[in-house]
Amino acid sequence: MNCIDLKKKLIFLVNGDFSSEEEKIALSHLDMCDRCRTLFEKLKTEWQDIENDKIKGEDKFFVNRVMKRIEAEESKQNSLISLPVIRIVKTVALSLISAAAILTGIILGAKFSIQFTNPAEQGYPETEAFVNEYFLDELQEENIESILFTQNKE
Amino acid sequence: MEYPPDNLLIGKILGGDLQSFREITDRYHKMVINTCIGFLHSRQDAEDIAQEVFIEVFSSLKHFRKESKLSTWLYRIAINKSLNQVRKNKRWRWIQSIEDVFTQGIHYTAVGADGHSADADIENRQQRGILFNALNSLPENQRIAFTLNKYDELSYKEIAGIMNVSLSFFESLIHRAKKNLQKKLIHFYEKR
Repeated sequence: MNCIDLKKKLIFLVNGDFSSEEEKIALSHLDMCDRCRTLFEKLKTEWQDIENDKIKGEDKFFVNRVMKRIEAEESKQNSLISLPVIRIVKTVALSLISAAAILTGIILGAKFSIQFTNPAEQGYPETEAFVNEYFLDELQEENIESILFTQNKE
Repeated sequence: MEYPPDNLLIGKILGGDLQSFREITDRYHKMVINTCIGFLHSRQDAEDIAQEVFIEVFSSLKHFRKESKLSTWLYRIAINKSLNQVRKNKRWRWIQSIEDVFTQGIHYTAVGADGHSADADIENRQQRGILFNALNSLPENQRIAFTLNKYDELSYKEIAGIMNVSLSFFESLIHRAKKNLQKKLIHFYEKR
């Protein structure tokens, strides 16, 4: 048996799945090959960890812990305020709080909003003078239009 | 000392006899805890889940059809609850890894009263973590097959009954589980 063959089956050797003959051959290879023996020892340690993980003795108090939890669950179910009622109350309370928050935002927004007004109404004389100088008002436009119409007729 | 058979105790429990339920719990708690340890690798978690298994047995016993043995039913509940907990733990670890991004993954090493750091314990746990990670990475069926075989020391026939598969299918499943496990472990050892 060479290293490649043994490496494929190492876990079965550790687990005791080999026949006695196969085991003999594998162990004689391990005696000669340090690398395979190191891998074998590491796998064996992992297997031992599995054994160490398991509980060995009985836990006399486990039953009491289970019974306590069952009693706690039963008393929860029998309580006056049942779980569905608690859920409904929570949902309604959250909805009311959200609505109150939105309403507060609207009221505050209305109270402190900035009023946008026509600057002309606020009385900016410089602006008015500029407009009057460079832009025609409707009355002035009428005169110009009548001149243009008369010219075209001619 | 002869213990009353499971079916007799089940009948008494359904009649409201709590003492019979205590007896069933006493009889099977070690088996259930070891099954849970096989999936969760934490004694604390395994105990919590084992308690939940028996609480479910207590509330659902009226639905137990007695088509299989009580122990088979217990194993199935234990496996389902353990796998659910494993999935929950995975989600929690994902959230913690995001947390690490913000805390820059800073971890504090505890130092004992004698000044000895807990690094040695951490290294030991890391070493054991190699096997557990390899087990966790197996496909679910293979993981169940391996765990029931190694942690509960059940026969192939018993495990095939619990998993509701044929004996030949189970034999092929456990063979693949061991090969995959070996591949992962040896790959890890050779990388070091």
